[in-house]
Amino acid sequence: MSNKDSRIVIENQENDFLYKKNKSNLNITFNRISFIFFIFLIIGLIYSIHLIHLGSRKSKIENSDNLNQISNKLYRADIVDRNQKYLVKTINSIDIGISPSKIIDEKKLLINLKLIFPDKNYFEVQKRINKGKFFYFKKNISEENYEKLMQLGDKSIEPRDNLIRIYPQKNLFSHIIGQIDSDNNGISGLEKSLDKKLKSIREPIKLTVDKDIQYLIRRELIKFNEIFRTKGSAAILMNVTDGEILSLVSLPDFNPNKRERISDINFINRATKGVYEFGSVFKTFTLAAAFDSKLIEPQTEFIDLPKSLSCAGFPIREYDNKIPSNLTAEQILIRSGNIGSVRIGQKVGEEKFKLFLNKLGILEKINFEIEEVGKPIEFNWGKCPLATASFGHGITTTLLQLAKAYSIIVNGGYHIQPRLIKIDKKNDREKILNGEVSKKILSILRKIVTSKEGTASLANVNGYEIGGKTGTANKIIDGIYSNKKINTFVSVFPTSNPKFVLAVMLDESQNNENYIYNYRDGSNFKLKGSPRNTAGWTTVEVVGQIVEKIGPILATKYGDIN
Amino acid sequence: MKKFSVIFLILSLILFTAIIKNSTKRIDDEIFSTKENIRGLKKNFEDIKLEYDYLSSTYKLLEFHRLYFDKELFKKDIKNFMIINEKKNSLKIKQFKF
Repeated sequence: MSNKDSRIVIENQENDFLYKKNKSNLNITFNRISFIFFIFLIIGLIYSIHLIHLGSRKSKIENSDNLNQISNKLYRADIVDRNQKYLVKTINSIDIGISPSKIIDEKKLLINLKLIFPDKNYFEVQKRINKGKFFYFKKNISEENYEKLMQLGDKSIEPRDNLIRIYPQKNLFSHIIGQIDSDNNGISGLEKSLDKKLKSIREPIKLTVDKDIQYLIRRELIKFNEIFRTKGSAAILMNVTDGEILSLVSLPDFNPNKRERISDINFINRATKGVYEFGSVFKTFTLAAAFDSKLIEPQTEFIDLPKSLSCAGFPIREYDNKIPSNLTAEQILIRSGNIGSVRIGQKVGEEKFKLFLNKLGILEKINFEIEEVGKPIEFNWGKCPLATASFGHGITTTLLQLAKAYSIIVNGGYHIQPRLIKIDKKNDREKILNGEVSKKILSILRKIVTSKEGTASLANVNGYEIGGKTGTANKIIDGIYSNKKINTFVSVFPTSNPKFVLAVMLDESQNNENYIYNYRDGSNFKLKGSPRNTAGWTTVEVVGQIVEKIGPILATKYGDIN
Repeated sequence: MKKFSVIFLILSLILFTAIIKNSTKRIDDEIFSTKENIRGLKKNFEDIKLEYDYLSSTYKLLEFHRLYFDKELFKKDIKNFMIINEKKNSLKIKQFKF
């Protein structure tokens, strides 16, 4: 060991880690809060996104639902009658297609298909399989067959959902409902006029018609079309207070399920589209116009009425030569006097008569819910035309407008709009005629049915107080009057408190020598064969038979009892 | 401190809303499945109603009448219709008028 003293030197070491104030502007404390806030923000954002996602989830469900239903190109809303009975229905169907490229064992597949559908032409099926393209094997199959097919477990069998439009009432409402084409577009009737609405709404559209009443009226019309060998016929049953149409029948009709293209003009809607001269039913308007203007009263006398008149070289004659020369206004309508009606028309004058007919909506095209509406032929007014129009000659309109005009005349003079689509809200009615007109006209219309001189005694069905006016007119064919007839009867019942107007028209009816008429005057008299081809012996009988059938339903279902 | 409280409140609200909304998801699902069931039942109802409409149509009823009740059911004159009104233990019968 050396002598050197070992020495321990303790040196003061300078502290190298002196705290120095950070000169940068960075604030550590603040950054920590920011960071925490940032984390919370991210969490918040995630929850917000999740919230938005949950919120939008429901609307997605609704959208997909709508896509299935409304956006489906084949979807159309159902149509029901006033009692919720289906008139038109869209139903789901399953079509079965075959994808040849997915066939594993063709022979096995064909045997299986043959077991389920034995009536199919499998030679044709084989040919289509060989073509290699997808094809429909069978459309609209039953659920039972669908189950059987699915149990085969063959991937080449591809079911496709489809929608089909069916018309359960077949021909019954063909002229009202109309048809659709293969592209699912309405081509006639309500299917056409409500095309957009039917494609966009889901709730059924409710009509004013009654299926049972429609059936009974159509059945009677078909029966009498055969009896009187008509070319066609039409009937409208309308509620006089609100214009609701309970039945609208036009024959011949068609089955919309068949989707046939109808080009035969005989299938025209005679109730709304056919424009006809209806003859003496116009005499009611002449008399009503005179009552409305307070020019005459029912008992006003017309003295020395001639048997014929001449106007612009053309004669105007009475239909019945036995008609007396002195008649009251009431008797003129009851006996359907032509000359008397001309006299009343002349008393009313052209302007007032024209105005009156316009108020009733006779001369203009009617605004209706289906597009098949006829436009009355323009009437050139003048001295002679006024005379002929007074008894319904030379002036035309549609059966629908006729029913509407009679409804206004008998309902107290309130304007109504004929309707096929049921609406819950009833509009305030506008009074367009003098209220006394209804009372006066109704009493006369009733006498036409009850009195001996009247032309409509065959319609005097017990208990229904039917009143009405007949009209027999020669049909214009190619602009010339022919011997063929348009026989019309517009009835109102019950006349003590009018509820319904039933207008029936027979197109080109003929006499029937074997038909037996049962008189309704209580005499039990029976007459074989129709004596004349007039409305009184044809259409009136039809109305009598119709009211007998539908009367009890109308009385109990739509009468005051409820 | 005030800032903290506001931020905490906002975040808590978001959190609670998310939790509540999440819990309604199950109810949403139940509503959805119930709706689907109703749709199925509605379809069945419509099909049955269509069949009922057909079987109770005038055509069918008249056919049944002809086949089975030709003698039992007959048309009654409207003049024989009566209306019975019940008022305080007494019945009042009056003639039905259309």
